[in-house]
Amino acid sequence: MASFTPLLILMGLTLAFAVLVTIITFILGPKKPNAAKLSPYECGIEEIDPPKQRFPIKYLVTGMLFIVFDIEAASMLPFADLMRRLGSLGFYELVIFIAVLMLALVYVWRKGAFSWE
Amino acid sequence: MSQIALELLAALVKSVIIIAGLLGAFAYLTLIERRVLARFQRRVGPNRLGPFGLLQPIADALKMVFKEQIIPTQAKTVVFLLAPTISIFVAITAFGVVPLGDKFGSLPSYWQPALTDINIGVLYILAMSSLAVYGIVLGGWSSGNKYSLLGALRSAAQMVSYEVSIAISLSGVIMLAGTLSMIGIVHQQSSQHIWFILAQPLGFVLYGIAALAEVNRAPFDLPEAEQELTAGYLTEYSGLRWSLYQMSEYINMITTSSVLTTLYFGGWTFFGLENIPGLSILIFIVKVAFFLFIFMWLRATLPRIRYDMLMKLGWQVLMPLSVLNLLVTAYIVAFQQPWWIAGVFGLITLLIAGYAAASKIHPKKANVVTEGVALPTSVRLVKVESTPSPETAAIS
Repeated sequence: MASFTPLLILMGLTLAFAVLVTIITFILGPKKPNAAKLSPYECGIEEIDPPKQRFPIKYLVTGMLFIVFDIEAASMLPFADLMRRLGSLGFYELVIFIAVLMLALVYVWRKGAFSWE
Repeated sequence: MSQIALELLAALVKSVIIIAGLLGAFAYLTLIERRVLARFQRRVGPNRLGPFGLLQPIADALKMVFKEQIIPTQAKTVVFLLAPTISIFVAITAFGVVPLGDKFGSLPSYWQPALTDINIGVLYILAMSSLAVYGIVLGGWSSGNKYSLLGALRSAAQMVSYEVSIAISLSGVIMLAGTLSMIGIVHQQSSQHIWFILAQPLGFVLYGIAALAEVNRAPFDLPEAEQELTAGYLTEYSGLRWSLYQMSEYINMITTSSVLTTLYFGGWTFFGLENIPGLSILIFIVKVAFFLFIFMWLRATLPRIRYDMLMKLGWQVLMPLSVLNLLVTAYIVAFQQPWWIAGVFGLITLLIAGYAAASKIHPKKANVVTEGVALPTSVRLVKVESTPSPETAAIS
């Protein structure tokens, strides 16, 4: 039996649990809706302005940086796994790889991608 | 019964135990956290229901079950219903690869108190914990409320920023162990006769900080900063579906503590005590409980940090330091140097970083210019009385 099969069983049971809870809470809870309850929360007054569908560009920049650097981190894991066998050559390769990436980090840093003021 | 049927049965039983155990642990963690926080603040905390308030979680759960479920008119119904489910699904399944104890003697491997031993254990936990963003972001976005949306955006940027440092700082341990399997890492620690905390003090601290941010715990609980965002992404949720979010937060805490224990503190091992049958699980639970207590301690002690400081800390401090840690570890592994070189290096780096942080928080007196400053006319200076009031006299 593959070692991943138990995880599939766990996932199935968890999904069943989550769906069950969602259904139960709708069955057992009271159902007395009114207009005030269903309006969006605004500290008890009428909504001042609806949520804007646009958000600061900073979040997008952070998302893009994440993609770049997380792929780097993901490619670090097989490196780490094999480091002992790769030996000195592997170490030099790692240094070059990281040097290029740190260059990118310094570039975005100087461009002000991390300053949120 | 055939072998495969036995293994499937074992997996089923273990899955049920894991889900039930995590839910029980969540229920009592809420109680313990309230009691511990109360003690930190010189209060008593909930102690009315049952001895030491032990029935409090059951009362809370019952109250939550009988609450009304509200779907606001602005909400995008399908996503709004789905989001807490994603959150809890990801939180529980991430725990699946954590080994809780040693196997009993020579019994077959499905007797080991771990659901499974996959060869990419650490990668699996990383992947599952990054999926946690979806539950929060979808929940916040689909609520149709601006506080929810802002909380969701904040948490997305926060979790994404700390993800990178988590993966890189864990790579140090993986290098030392030479395996990604969680059980394999524990075995490596006992065969190398060290806990990896000794070789990786820097990686441990970096992972700890980044994991705190990843599970949205204080002092990084900006997504639910109640002074600015009422309750962040939780604003429009009620009843059990609110509890699902709480559950996933606490279960993520447990998973993080388990990863800290397994990767840095030797998992279920404790100087040979783990060879006594049944004791290995207890050792593991005690270690995890220790880290959970530290989480509560940090929540009681530290104020929430500002958003721009949060992003700076993630990208400009944690990430370069974790890369540095990775390079030093790679050096000692590739050139077969003794492990303590990395340990000493890590400690020195921690001291320097700590000193730099402390001197930023408390700048030297000489830097603070108090006299001769041209104040704007709108600022009124309050005359200080010469005789000290009783309070200040008592303090000094």
